[in-house]
Amino acid sequence: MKSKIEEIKNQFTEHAYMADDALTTSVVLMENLSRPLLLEGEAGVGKTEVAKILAKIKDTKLIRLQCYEGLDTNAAVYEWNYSKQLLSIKLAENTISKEIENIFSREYLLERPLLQSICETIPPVLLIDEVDRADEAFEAFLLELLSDFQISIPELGTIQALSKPLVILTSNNTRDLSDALRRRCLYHYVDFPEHEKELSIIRSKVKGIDEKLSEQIVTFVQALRQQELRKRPGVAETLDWAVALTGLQVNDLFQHINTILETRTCLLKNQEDMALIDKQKTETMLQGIA
Amino acid sequence: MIQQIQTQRLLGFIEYLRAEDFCLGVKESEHALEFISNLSELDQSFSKLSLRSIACRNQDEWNRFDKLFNQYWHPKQYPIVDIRLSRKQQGKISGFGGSSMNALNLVNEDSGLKGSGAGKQTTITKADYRFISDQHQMRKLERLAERLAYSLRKKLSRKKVYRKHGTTLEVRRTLRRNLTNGGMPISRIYKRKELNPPNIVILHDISHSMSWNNPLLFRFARGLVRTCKSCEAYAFHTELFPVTKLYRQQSLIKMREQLESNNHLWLGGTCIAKSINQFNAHFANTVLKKDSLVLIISDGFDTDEPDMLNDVLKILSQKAKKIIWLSPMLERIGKENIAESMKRAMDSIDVLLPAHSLAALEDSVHVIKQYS
Repeated sequence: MKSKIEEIKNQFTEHAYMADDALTTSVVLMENLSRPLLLEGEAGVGKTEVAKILAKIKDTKLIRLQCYEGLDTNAAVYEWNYSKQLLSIKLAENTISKEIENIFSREYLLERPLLQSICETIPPVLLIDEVDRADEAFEAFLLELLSDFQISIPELGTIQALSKPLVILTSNNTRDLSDALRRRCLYHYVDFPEHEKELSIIRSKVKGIDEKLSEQIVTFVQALRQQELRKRPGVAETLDWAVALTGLQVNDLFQHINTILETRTCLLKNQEDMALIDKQKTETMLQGIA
Repeated sequence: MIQQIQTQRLLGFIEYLRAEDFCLGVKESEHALEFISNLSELDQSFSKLSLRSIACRNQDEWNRFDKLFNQYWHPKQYPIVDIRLSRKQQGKISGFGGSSMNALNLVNEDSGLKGSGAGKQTTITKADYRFISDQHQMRKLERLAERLAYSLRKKLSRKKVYRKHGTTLEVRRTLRRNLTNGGMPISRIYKRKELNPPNIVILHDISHSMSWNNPLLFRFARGLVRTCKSCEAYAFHTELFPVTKLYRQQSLIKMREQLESNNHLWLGGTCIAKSINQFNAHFANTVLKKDSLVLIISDGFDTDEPDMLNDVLKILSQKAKKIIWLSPMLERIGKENIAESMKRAMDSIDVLLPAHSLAALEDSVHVIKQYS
């Protein structure tokens, strides 16, 4: 088991994702126990990326369901191909034999992501992204799938999974998920990375970045996260900023305070935070990290 | 034999987590036993990480798990500290009334903490929160208070009810129903009007006089705000300020820190009428709807003129559906001894409820459900 965790960890690293022991343990448990994994954390910490990398590691399909308020079974699970059904009926009306095909058979069923995920012969990775954005009625549709990997369709009966997908759910915790959903999943909280980890992420993802600059970027962003911001910058924002600064040929933050101010849109996503991190504040923060 | 001992210890740990409000069922126990077969020193970190993933359900449990694991498996290195009298020691609430154990025992008796086992559990939920000194129990009650609001959410349902009459056509179901008619929409199905969670506006008194009960009431208000998307919250002491975003914070510690640092929590007198007037002037028109319930959480000790509260509540009641007042002092002093300003404003207050204990808050949720 421990060797498997190490192996998965190395595979994540090869795909430029710095997974720690805790996360790789959760991923291995998900596979061995055939239970979904719920990843919670703030926006931009790399929850969705876990599913994408896992699909690459396993060399399998990634089936993604992006959740939103109002999402229902027709968009997420299945829908009947009504136009095809109507055409079949019309055709049958005009034929002599008058035999009508079963218009509620699999042929007339449009598979949406959740149903697709259990109809694959090779287990795919099913990513249910931002499940907290869907409303609570939708969570009820997920319960059967997450516990038994089956879907019940009234006209067809229960469809069992041909292969059990690796299910990853992500949540930004904008609302509390129901206990019924949580107890069906393993849980992992993805926090902002530590200094060393974020540094290795920047250096592996941003090719050609100056070592000194990367150190300064990470230290600055780590300090920025301690401020009273409405939205703290995630790893994705740090990467964007690193790419922007590298593109602008900045190699020392202390010499380019104005550039920091001009590019802070990469890190800060609302007016309040932009107003808070003004020139004076930026200089103070730079002095702190010097 | 050693394996048996290890299994017993692991089952004991699972029970320990359950006592700490971790929701662990039979399946989780099976998984834990299956994977954590050897708790030797070599596998300790792996065991801890695996158990954490299996046992935790949310961020709060995730953050607490390491400490609980260490306290159980390494009790000598991480002893459990006796945390009675913590309120007195921390000095958060002054004037606790005596420093001797005898005084505390009297207080505990006064709070009604009698009985044992299940009886004591029931008694704790009904006990006045301000007199509970065991921090473990206090934290448990606070967590439960936050979860009370869950019952306001829509029930999880797979089936939507559709109607034969309405204004919005449900196209898919109509097509399906009319397949037998060759697609002609002879029989139509309409969408049901979406049932939304109640629109609640919380006006929360965070002045010094409320400091005894506010740890419980904070969690209750936070639960409401995090459960109902349309819920707005405003806090007041000498003035009113919006706190909806603060209450929606993921981190409880951060929420308290921000409240304490920015707004001098626990300090100052109370200007209830002035604060509600401020709400009427600046926020009521944008926030309140015809079906809004205004929840005022306050003990009613107001430093403003007694008649002012009635005047501002009259204006407020014209804009909202109902005004529900939750008072942590009501059970203790009785309706006849409430503050003068509240007595004069009783006509404008639709419902006056106690809020001194978890059981009282649970009753208030039932009332909110009735009106929503």
